[in-house]
Amino acid sequence: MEITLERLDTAKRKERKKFKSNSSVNKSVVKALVANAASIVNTAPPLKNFIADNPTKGFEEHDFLKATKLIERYFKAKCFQGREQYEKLVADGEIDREILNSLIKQYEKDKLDMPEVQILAPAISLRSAGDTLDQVNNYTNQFCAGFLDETESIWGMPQRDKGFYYVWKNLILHDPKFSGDSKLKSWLGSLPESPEESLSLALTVLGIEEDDRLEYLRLSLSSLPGWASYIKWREGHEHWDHFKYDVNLLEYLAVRLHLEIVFLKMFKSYVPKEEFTGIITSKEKEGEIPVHVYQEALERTYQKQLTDIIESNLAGQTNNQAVDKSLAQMIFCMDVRSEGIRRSIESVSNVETLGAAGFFGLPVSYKKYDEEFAEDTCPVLIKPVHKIEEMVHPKTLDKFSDFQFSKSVNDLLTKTYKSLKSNVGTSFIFAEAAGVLYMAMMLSKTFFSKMKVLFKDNKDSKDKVYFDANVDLSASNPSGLTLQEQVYFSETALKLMGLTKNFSEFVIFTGHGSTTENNPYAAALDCGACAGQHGGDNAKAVAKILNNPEIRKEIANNGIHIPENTVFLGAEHDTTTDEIEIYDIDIVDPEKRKRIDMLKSKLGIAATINRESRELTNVSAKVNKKLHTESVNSRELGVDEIDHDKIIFKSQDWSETRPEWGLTGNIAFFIGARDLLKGSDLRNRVFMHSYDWEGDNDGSALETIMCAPMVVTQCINGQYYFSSMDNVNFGSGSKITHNVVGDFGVLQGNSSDLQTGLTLQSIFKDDETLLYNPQRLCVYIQAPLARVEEILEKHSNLKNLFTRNWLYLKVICPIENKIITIN
Amino acid sequence: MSEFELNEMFKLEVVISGEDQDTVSNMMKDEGITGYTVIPNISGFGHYGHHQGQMFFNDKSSFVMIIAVAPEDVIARVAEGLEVLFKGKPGVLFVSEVSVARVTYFS
Repeated sequence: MEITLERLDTAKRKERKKFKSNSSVNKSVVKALVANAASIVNTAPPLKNFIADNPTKGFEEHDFLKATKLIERYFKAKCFQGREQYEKLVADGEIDREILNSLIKQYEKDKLDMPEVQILAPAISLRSAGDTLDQVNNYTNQFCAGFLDETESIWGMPQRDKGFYYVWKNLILHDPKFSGDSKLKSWLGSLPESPEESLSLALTVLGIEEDDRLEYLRLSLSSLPGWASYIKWREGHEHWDHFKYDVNLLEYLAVRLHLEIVFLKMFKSYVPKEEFTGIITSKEKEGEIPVHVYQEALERTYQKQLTDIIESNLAGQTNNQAVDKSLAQMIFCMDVRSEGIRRSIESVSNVETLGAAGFFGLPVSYKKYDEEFAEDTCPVLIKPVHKIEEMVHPKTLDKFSDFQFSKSVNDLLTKTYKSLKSNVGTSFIFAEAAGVLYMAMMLSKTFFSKMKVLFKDNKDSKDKVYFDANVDLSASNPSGLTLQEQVYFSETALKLMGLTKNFSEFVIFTGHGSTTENNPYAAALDCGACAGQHGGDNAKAVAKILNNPEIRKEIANNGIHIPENTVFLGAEHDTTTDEIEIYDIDIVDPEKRKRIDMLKSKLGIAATINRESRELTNVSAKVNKKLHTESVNSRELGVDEIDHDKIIFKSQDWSETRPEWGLTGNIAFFIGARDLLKGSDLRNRVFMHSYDWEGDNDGSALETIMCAPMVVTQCINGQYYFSSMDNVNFGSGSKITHNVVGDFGVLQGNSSDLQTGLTLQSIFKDDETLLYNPQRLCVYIQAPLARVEEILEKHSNLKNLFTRNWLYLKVICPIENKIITIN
Repeated sequence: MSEFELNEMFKLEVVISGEDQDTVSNMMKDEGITGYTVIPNISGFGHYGHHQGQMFFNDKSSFVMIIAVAPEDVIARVAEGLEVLFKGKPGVLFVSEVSVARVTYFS
């Protein structure tokens, strides 16, 4: 018998009522409504897991231009720079006039041929506005900060285990602001227990018709996008062991809408529906060049520079030399900051460098020995099911008891300090008594941290305890990896970057992380592919796996023969100081150790070169305006000698707001052979993933790179683009006025929406000047065109990123030996 | 040969984006569905074009199928919610009559 939804809706209505005996609201419908509304905001993780992600992800279903109109409308945000700024870029030559003129012609033509694009504006406005909206927002800010803070405040909100809505519903009855109004109190006291029923009731009281409810909830979420994004992230991490209490957007909206009712005093009566606003259009003023045309001209100007570099290398005009990898192969993260250090290493040593996603193919979480919880160390696109636990390296077991003793003393002191500082009875006395001590500590931190850098002992400490990655599945590590899983993941990692033959004596997986002081946004400078953690741990783990003879045997059976004398090592590149630490050198035999020492000395020279190159970004505006075919020389730019100690000191300076530039300025993702870019100075603006199209017969490696790393680069690019275009709406504003809340986020001042994007200091060189002009990412893929097209046909979500102009695509087709522009 | 008794139930099969999996499974749990099956990484072709199942290192862009069996009333309520969800999200829904052996597992 055929079943239809109509039948379910009508014929069985009576039976269904049995299930609704306590409620007239279908909870599934309310949940679905909220899930749809929630697409207006992306997720924002806690600070220590910060990764750059496109805050406008929910608008990717639209063409980019149409999306910007909607984003401007919902968030009252800017999606482009001002016209004057673009005109200045034309005058300065950063926008190519020829490209701009060609785009203007195209725009004028399209304007005549195409019907005017009409964008449906939100069909309803928030009931609250002006001062009332401010009251709702202020109350929401304070309540969210209070509820979600599980670490900083000593007196937490009561009964948080019963949920966000429950706590609000009970606390508001005791709020002196409202307790004088008996009618209000009685109304609040009668609110439903269930958040679904409560949200449904609030929409009814506010007079929001069925058809407008989705839009109304979207507007409510866009009012304070920071809290909404963070709560959305928490909702996706329900029962995460880092937090005791769960929270979700449905309860958040139930509270927020009731606050609107309370502040509008609408609980007394229902109000009639307002007239709605209609349609907005994308029409520009007659005779004006639209800013999006300027923006595209800027992007295509840089694309032309990069395309020219690749084309000249394709033609064999420059830099095409056989790769000398006699000293080592070093695999770096595809992060844009690896471009500079790779270029510097290649310039002083016979080391081949490769690029890959910096989690090196291990979809795991990693529990450090001295951390309470494991942290995900893989891209946020993956939910890791495996866990690697750190254990003491057998060779340093004898030093472990001393290490444990100092750790327990340190933990005790920290705990005592926190209790004394925050306890009502002791806080004032503690401030009086310990003030002098704190003054001394502050002075020491201010003046002696530089001494620490200057007199740093670079020798390996003999007293240091080393930790090893316990990757194996065992009774003590039930979430570890089986041998088969280790084979599968490590082999895939090698195949993705095309490293399946010609292994060097040393193959070094080099993760990255940043060293900064007093920086709540430290994770934003760490590895995005490792979910905002340092990448060295994954590097160490994958090296350990590939040194296992059993794994090598299995991999050999699949056609990848790793020579017996090849040693895999883990390492970490400090992106603030450019120092590279190679782990576990003591597993290398003494004969080989000499060559490792030689490599370390070359890496030291490369670090100096790269620091100098990076510092040019700060001291010469000229160098930032284009990509360079060769390394930029500071003397040619008239820059005096670079103070290396000053750069290194940034890693220890607790007043430094710009320790490094992270991924600022990213403009392209290159997937292909290093030869095509080698020698060029791309100013740390290009993501680079190695790919060997000839070794990937079925295209599966490219498919994986496009499905995961490429998607990640687009997310990162989106964050940098929108945080730069509108730092108030999508960024986190200035660090100077930041106030950390609950160890998970920052507020501006003592109360504001949660700040979730990049700080002003991450992308602006001063309060008003962007370091780089933000651009959408252009993906360059070195592969046969047919292969790329086939992958895009299989994955409509990838294809849409290009057809909807969120990304540009250029295929470097080896069959036709030319670069083909797709969009 | 012993007698084998089957009971009438309703089956819901829903194909959704991986990122909506938690939303839909929560709907099911809240309506009292006591168990369901998830088939990850499914392939297909539809309104949104081709979708390849296996996406290595990307769980969020994958599509999943969730299968649940429950009394008609429960399935109807979840289906009603899904109808709302599909106004803003990709997905398809199939509802059919099935016979089950161990009825207590589904109600």
